Amino acid sequence: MGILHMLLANLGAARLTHRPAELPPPPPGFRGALKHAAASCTGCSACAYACSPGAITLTAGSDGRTFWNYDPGRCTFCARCAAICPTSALSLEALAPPLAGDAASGRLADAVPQRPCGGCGQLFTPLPAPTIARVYGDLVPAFIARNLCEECRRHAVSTAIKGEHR
Amino acid sequence: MSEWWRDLVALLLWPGVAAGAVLGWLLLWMRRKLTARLQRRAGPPFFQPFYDTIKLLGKQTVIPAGVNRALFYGLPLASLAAVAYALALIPAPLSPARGFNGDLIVLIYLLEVPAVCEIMAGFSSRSIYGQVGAAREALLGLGYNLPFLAALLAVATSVGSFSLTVVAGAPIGLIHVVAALAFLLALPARLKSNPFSIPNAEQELVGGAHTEYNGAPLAIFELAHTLELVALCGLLAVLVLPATGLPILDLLLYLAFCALVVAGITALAAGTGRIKIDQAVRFYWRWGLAAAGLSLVVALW
Repeated sequence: MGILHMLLANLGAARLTHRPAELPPPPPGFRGALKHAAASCTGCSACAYACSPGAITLTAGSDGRTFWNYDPGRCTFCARCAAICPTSALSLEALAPPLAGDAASGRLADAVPQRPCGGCGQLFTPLPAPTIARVYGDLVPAFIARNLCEECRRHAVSTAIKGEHR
Repeated sequence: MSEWWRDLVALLLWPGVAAGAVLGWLLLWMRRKLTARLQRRAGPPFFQPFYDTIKLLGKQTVIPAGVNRALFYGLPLASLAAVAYALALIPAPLSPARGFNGDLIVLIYLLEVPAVCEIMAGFSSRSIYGQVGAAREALLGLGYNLPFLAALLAVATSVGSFSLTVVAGAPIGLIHVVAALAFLLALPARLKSNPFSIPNAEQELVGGAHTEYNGAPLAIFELAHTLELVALCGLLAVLVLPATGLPILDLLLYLAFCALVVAGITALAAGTGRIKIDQAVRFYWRWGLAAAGLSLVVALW
């Protein structure tokens, strides 16, 4: 009569299944919802290139701005976009993404930041500070390099190099 | 004229469709919750059977190609109508209907209709799973009907009347015990519950006779099964429970007895595995025959 003992024991015991609110914390290194630091994004499209299901796309807005779009419905949480991003703007937080009610919820569309160059005045996408430090080092002061577009930065760097060798 | 009005209330309200559906959903929730607790799971919330019905009613009905439309829509409705009338015939406490002589025979015929509808639904659905499920339901019916009918006929013979009200009001004797045991022997197979859940074996037959059913016809079929559960438990309660003087106490005993029977069936289902169709038929033709023979012997003694 083992089954009878088992049934009686189960009747008095607590349930083993968790309700959604009682779920244990995710393990370290868990790849959950994608986070995009728009201030660090340069619109380079490396993440869109690396994304195999095509969850990340970069589109041109009507006013000429670039938009970084993310569809969590297509995302497989493989984190290749976070690995390839040169400015470390993407990260997957260790939290399960919320259960979506419809296909459109959770979609992100971030505008890649643009501002006028301090040198020539044209609109450009600024590089984030850690990238400036890594790429330019001590050649050009960081607070100057951040406000210059690519052309003006190149000009500033070549001026700095010529000035050292003078 | 007043008889006609009473019978309509009995058909639609108590103990008919409305009360049968509510009580049936309660008993169904009890089955699922108790099964879950016995398996250390949480189980569905209280209104789950109601939610399931509403969900199915809202879905689009897809009829497979080549299936007779009239049968697809008509069989669930026939099943529901038969079980609703069977429920109305049962002399539950506070039932407004007045029985008639021979309504036990009508009840037996009406309670066979859902099984026949299920078999026809399986065969007409052009699905191999449906056909195998229907064939197994038919075979199982050959088995469980033996103790089921013998129990009812034995009580009627012992009391000396085929009127349900007379049978329900008779004083309790040995015949009631023996007949209740035969009835309980047949009950798991009638309800397609383990160890006799052969016709709707999910792991083998997907949905059994209901495989191709969806949407509102499936909701009506499930409602008919729910009402069948209430009808069978109610029939047993009416046969076995003695009549106390107070109708309210009668009603409470009726409901408690239904819950007790369902709890027992659920514990049996949780503790056993499915047996094969030949084992089931052999079981019923051995022990069902013995129970039927015993009840008829006690009845005629």
